[in-house]
Amino acid sequence: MSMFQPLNISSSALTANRLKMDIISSNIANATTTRGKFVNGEWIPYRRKMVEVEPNGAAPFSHYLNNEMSANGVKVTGIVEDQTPFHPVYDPTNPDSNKDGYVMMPNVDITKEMVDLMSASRAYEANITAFNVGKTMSLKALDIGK
Amino acid sequence: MLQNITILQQALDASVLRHNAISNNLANVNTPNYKPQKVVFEEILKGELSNTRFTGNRTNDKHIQIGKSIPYITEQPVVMQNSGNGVDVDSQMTDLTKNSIWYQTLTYQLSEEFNLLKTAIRSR
Repeated sequence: MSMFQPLNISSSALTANRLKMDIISSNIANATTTRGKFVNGEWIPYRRKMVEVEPNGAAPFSHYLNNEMSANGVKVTGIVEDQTPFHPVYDPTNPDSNKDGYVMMPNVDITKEMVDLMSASRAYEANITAFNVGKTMSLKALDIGK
Repeated sequence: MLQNITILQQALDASVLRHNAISNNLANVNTPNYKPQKVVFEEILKGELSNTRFTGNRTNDKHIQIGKSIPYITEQPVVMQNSGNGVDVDSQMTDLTKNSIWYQTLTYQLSEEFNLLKTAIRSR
């Protein structure tokens, strides 16, 4: 067991939650971006991005058998694109509208993004608290015998 | 005297382990299908102090340990969110604070044990 293990666990979560907040910011910033990618001569709107997380160092069965500790925080496994359909909006004056006058808008739902943002931000705060408590405990251990 | 120090040391180890488990739970507060971990220790310590320990004799490394006195981690099969995650942030934060105060109590107690030893050595 490393001395800084508690701090490492919390900092992994801080990193993951900050990345989550970055991705959410990107989604909100591109909520009306109709030119996300250029594929086969036509523009495809921005697709909502999501962060995939999993526990770091998921324990194999032998760990459970030996009651071994496996607390290594959280790890980001990848950023995936939301495959839900785009929202069609009727706007014939838009340069990206199709022949019927519809523009495909990104599949970003601002409400969903705001809720995710709050959730990530609260998780970040909780982990800061855990980090500070871990720091206090480590410093207290230095006072033993004084 | 020295036995007390050993016991306190084990309690400190358990407290750090519990802190690790709690901060790991908080780190995975939004991880789908994550189940919270819990450290089981006080029950074991109680058995240890009352000397009613029953240990199995291991003749091979592959034998399962019986009556092992180190704290261990269990997973709690609960679900709190739609994603299958089972972390209850409120109870985890409470446990975090409780554990921190408990740790500081133990460090204080350990310091006092050492002070007693110092007094005895200096004989004044």
